[in-house]
Amino acid sequence: MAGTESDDVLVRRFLDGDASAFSTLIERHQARVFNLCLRILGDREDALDAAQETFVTAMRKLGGFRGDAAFTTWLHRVTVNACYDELRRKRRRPMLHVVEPEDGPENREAAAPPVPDHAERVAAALDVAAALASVPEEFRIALVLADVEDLPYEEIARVLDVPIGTVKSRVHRGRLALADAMKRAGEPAGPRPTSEREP
Amino acid sequence: MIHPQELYADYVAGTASASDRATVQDHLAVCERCADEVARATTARDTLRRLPPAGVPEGFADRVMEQAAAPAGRGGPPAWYRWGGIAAAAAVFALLLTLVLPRLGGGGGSPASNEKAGAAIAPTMGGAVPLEISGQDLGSNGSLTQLAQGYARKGSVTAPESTGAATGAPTDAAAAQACIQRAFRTVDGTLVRLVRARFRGTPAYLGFYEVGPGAGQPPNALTVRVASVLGCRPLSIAQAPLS
Repeated sequence: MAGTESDDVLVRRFLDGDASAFSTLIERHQARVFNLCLRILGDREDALDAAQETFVTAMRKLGGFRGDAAFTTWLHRVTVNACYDELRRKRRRPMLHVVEPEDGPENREAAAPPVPDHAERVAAALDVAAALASVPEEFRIALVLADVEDLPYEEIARVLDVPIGTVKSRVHRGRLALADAMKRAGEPAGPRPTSEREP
Repeated sequence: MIHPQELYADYVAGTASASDRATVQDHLAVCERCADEVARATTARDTLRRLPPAGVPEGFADRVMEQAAAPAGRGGPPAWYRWGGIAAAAAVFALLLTLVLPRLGGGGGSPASNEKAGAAIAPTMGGAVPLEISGQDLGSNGSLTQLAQGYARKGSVTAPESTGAATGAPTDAAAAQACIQRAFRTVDGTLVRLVRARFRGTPAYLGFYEVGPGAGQPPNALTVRVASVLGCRPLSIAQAPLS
């Protein structure tokens, strides 16, 4: 469905005037881009906006894509920038943060599925998504690229345009922040434990 | 005691070299605090890797293509307003052509000469090109390039094989042109034929444009642009040399 031609061939075809080539690129990369946006932003609607903005921006800027980086690296960079834009917009509009289940806007009780395993998975995903949302942005983006998208650290460095040592530091600190947030979520309400060590 | 923290990201991901892995393992054996830190980082990574991928809503790609075809920038007028404005402007322009062109051409000009004059004034509008309405699926027999070549070989796309088409109202032609314009944003060449048909099952407008190298040179190629009737999305484009 998403074609067998390489990304580079599809990019070339699009730049030669074949609009359908870009549709194929969207179909091929939409799941990856949407998941990245969802894990960074923590909200399905915001993630859809950011994913849509990613492809629209990519389509309009594709003429400037020189092919000296892989298309996926370039697309990841456009995606991260779209997420930063969305995060800035969110900061300008104060709102209650509601984490929704993956498969719809219903709350956990209302979305009670028929199979207990599914309920556990949804609940677990909700807890992880909420915990992830509490990880500082800079760490969260590096963390999602590494552990959700499974990108090598070298590629994350190219996407974020920072030294690889910085990437490793952000990812590690992001993992620790996520582990702490998940631990807090599993504990009864009370004072938060203090950090054992300065980062 | 030195804590080799800079190695932990690779160690947890399983990408550390053998010597780095040994360094970390030796340290974890004697440092409870780092052993706990690495265990927490490993748990976090494993948890994220087990997250199920979220499904992309159906029609996402179509929505992107539609938005990409719209004018840049957020917060503009709604799509129906832009569409109505373009269609109305095109209809007024078509009406002006109908009223003014016979006078420009010395009166009583043939449709062909009217079209020529119209093309001279506004090359991309193509004068009074009617909208042909066809019941055929023009994408079902081979590629769009073959379709373009088929028309281009006739020497003149103004007299192609009949598609068994009826002709729509002038306002329909203006709307079809506006739709193709909206889908492709940049539409060069002179419109010589306009068809509403199905294209690989999707109701579509097909615009046939003669394009040239510029500098007053005659057209040397034919471009076919296909846009969906619903949503004015770009469906396909192809070009063939005029023989």
